[in-house]
Amino acid sequence: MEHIRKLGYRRLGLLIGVIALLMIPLGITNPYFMYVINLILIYILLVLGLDLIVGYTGQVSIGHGAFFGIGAYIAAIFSTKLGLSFWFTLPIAILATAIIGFIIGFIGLKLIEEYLVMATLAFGTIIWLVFLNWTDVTGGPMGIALIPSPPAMNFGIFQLSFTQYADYYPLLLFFVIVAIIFTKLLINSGFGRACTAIRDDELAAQSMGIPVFRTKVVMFTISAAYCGAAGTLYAHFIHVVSPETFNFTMSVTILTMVMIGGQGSIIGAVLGASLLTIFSEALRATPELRMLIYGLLIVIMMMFFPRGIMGIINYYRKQIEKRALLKKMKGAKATVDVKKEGLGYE
Amino acid sequence: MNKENLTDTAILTVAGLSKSFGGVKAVNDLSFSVKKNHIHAIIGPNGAGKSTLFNLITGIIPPDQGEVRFSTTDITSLSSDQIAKHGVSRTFQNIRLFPDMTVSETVLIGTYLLTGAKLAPALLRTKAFREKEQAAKQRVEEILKFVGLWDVRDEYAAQLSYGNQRRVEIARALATQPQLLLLDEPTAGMNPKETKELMELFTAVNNEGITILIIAHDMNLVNTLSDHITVINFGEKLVEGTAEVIQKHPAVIEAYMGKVKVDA
Repeated sequence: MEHIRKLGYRRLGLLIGVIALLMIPLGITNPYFMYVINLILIYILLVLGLDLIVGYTGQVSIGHGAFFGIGAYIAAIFSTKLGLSFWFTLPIAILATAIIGFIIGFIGLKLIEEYLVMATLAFGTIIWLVFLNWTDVTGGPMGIALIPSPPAMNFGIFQLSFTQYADYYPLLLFFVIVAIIFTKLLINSGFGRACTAIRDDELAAQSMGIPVFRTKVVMFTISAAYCGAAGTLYAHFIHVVSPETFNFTMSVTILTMVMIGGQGSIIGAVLGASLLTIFSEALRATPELRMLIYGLLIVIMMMFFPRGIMGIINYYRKQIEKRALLKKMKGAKATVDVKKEGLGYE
Repeated sequence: MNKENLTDTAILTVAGLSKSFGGVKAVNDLSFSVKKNHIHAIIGPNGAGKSTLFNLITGIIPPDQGEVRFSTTDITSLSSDQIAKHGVSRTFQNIRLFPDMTVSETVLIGTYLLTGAKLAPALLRTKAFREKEQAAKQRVEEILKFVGLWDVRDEYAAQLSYGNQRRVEIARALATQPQLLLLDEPTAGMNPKETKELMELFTAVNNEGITILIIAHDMNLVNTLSDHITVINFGEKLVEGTAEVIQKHPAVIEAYMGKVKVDA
């Protein structure tokens, strides 16, 4: 037990998660379940991306569905009209969403808090209208169909022909793991620390020499690129893109996942994406009820658990640690006084 | 350290600085200079424009008129992060900590200017990146030991006592390796013991060769610590000089106590 504790609950959880995830296709034969799992992986990418700007930098965006859409449409257009394969559309989509993210960030991040939310909402709506009405390029309301699968990959004994859902799984998992590692490296650096400082106190951060605006814009750009990558994967996985996927509801869904999982936490992003995707698939028959429950969930989470599921987990973990510490201390009373703080922002 | 040899050079020069909020002249044509390695106190009644002056010096708000020079550099129109880069750091009147961070994490933020924020080295974890991270951690350790917070380094900064929260703020400011440290009422709301301990810390910081510009109401602190005092009232400079000069000056007594009627 001691070496497990040394490893840290966080790392242990991550390790178990990765191993369990690798085993999944072996046990699941139902293609629908495989489809849902792949969808979860795409959502994890989106949530990781949005969490960079919302959770780590404290700038709320409800327009990230648009970056997801731009990535998907670029993949769709370049692959169907120019015949480019997935390995070419992916970098193009990432670069394009990053550039658009930079422009939107450069304009929008001059605004703060609710004004930024409104600006990103407007941006998301504009992009959705472009998808819907620029019929020559985006196919209008019909969208673009027949997007090719990624080219088959051959690893000797192990082949991915991308003819069934299970074939996409290792590819998507690979990108999710890359994204997680990328996020970790990013967060545990001077840049990542600068972002969290901006989230916690902009003025104090700036007084420490952190260029607030520039840092925000860079993070927004990276965040948009994540969503662009997710969009490309989505397009090549689903084979069809249409405007209604990338509307306001998508942006809200991703944001809800960030909130439910816990802002500023990689495990939180994974949890939020997984739970909400399963949840929304389970309620597929009654979409109206789904939005109602989403709304209620956000309200309840914001009121009682503003740090999401990870907030609750950290809270209880701290309680357990405190108890253990008190037990160690000689003559300490058995009763533990755990302060009510720690769940929410101050 | 022999202060007399260093007193010739001004590290900070404020010339003709003005700032109005609507019709209120918060700072009005204010000029003074801070000598290198001094502890320079700014005193004045509430609302005299002391905090506004700090915000003007550190670039948080732009002045209407006038100039702020740091050593020989004009920093008037620079943003606060650029000013921090030049070697000016500060604490805030109402302590501004990062609510989600432990003490050591908070102070680590102050090493931003040392580590920088380049993305490529961070993602590749280059040797230079790792060395800088190591140097930053080293600096945090030194500073935490220096200000006496090493034992509480893993506690959340916001959960510490008021006096220790102020220490965290000072430690964070020191982590930027400033030449000039601005302290905005650092001992407000402290008990006498905390005040005394903080005063010892300020002296220690000053002995490290860091010039201190301090806003304070506590006259005991001002008289004990400061090499030079500037009194401001209604945004204008009233008097300046050493503690003895200031204490006896009729204009200062008037600003604080009101006009003494002598007609009887």
